[in-house]
Amino acid sequence: MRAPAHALPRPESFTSRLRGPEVTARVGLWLGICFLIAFVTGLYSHFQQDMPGWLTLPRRPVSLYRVSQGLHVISGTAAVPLLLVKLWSVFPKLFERVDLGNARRLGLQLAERGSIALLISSAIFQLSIGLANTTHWYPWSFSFRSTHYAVAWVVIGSLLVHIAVKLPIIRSAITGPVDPRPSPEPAEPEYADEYAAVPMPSETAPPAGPPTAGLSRRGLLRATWLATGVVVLSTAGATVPLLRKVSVFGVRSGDGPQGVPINKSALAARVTELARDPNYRLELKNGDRTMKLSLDDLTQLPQNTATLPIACVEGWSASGEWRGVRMRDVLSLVDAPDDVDLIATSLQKSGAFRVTRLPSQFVNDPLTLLALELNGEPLSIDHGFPCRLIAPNRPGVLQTKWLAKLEVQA
Amino acid sequence: MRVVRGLVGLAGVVIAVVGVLKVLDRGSATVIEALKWFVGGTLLHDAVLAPIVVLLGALAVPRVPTWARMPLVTGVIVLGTTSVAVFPMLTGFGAISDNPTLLDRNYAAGWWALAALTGLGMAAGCWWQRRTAAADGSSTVPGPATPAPADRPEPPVGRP
Repeated sequence: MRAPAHALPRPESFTSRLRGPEVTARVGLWLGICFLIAFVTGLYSHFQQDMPGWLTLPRRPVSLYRVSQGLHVISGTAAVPLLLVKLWSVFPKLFERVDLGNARRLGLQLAERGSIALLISSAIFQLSIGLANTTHWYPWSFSFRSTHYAVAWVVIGSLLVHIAVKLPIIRSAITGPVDPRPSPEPAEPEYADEYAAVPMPSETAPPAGPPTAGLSRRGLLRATWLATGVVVLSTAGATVPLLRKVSVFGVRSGDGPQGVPINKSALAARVTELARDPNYRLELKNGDRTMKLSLDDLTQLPQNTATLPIACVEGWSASGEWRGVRMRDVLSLVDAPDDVDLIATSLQKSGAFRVTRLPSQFVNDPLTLLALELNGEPLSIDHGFPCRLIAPNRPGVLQTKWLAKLEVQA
Repeated sequence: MRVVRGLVGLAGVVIAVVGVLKVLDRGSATVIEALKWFVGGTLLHDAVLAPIVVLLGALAVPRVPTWARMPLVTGVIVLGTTSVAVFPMLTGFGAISDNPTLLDRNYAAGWWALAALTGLGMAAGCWWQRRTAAADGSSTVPGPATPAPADRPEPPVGRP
């Protein structure tokens, strides 16, 4: 049975004076900054993985992607307490009635509410699936990467519309005082019911308490900043090594085979037998020129060392000392020209990143290696034994493991 | 100001439409599944989480002394929002048996440690607030500063 309309509370049913544009605007400002950081770093990550032909991405600093993707996940995680407090601060507006008597006003109200509904639902969507993705939890059937990327535009677009609509209120709220200024007359009581949803008629209101004893918007804001800081500190250790001991909720402790975590095991990739096959050969191909190299052949080539991070799209990262053959030296075995891209194919039979493209500027980088060792030991099977690609400033999914073939792209 | 707002709003509409088109471009199966998550996430907040928080606030805050309110609210915000943010870690639904480097911490112990620290922080906050109130020479008596729930007016539910 449908409840009568008046069974719902009205905005004035919520009497807390902690709510107000002073709180909403300040929390919203930081939430907007978090969304902006997540959007920009997300675009960078997207272009790293789907690089358009006209775009050339930098190779230095070598940890740029590590920092940008770490910021992406940290800003998204920090947005959770900010979004929850902001939604609490405007919750009564959910119960505002629309003006059915005035068509123009009704149209404007519906447009504004529609844009806000789009903003809130897309923001909750992005944060929910983003956080789940950091733990490899995929309780949905759509592609995470393409959908997360598409909805990011919806969030930013609806956020800009929201800012345009509310700009006068935001400016006024941010430049004004957080809490009402004290007046010479006895101040309005800061009684506990400010936090309640139930109205308190003035005759039943308790006597005024001292200002330090009750609740205040400034106190609410401090609690919000504290919560945001706690969320960041307790999770960011997956990206920031210094925080590993305090990040009790970090998705990775930083440990793993040879001191580096892994994202996909050899077992999950179903390559264990192929990778350990004594007859393994790496195929090099440049047009008609083909060469097959065993692991012994590769170890006979000049070896170089590079300290480079593995930086995962899920935000975690770890640095390692890699040793192997410079990619440029490998390709010279099949007389590859200097300005060619490289197609790297894994032993995997399937997977979105089984085949990756390495642009020429990365191919020629002296730090780009066909890695055979990590941190002083031969690559473990989960790190890509017998050999893998490692290049500066690239997402981990493009650092192809268990290499089967390197082909020069004409 | 009007021009700036107009331009920002227009840019927002264009960018949002680009995003919607990108979602639609993923095909009907993705659109339907994404819509479920859009609506489900918003409903979970608006119809479950937010009413629970408002109700708990209405019930709990009047029952604590005024000097304990800000520490209580601070503790609830810190522990509550952190718990929501780390829900995937706490549940461990994404854990994979062949990858021991993923979700490799004792997250329940981490949560209890955070809860204990939050409790200590709340206790310290209460002590400080009470001391400050005592120094001000007012309202140092613990206990509800608001009428007991029985004295409170009925909520407006059903009121014409």
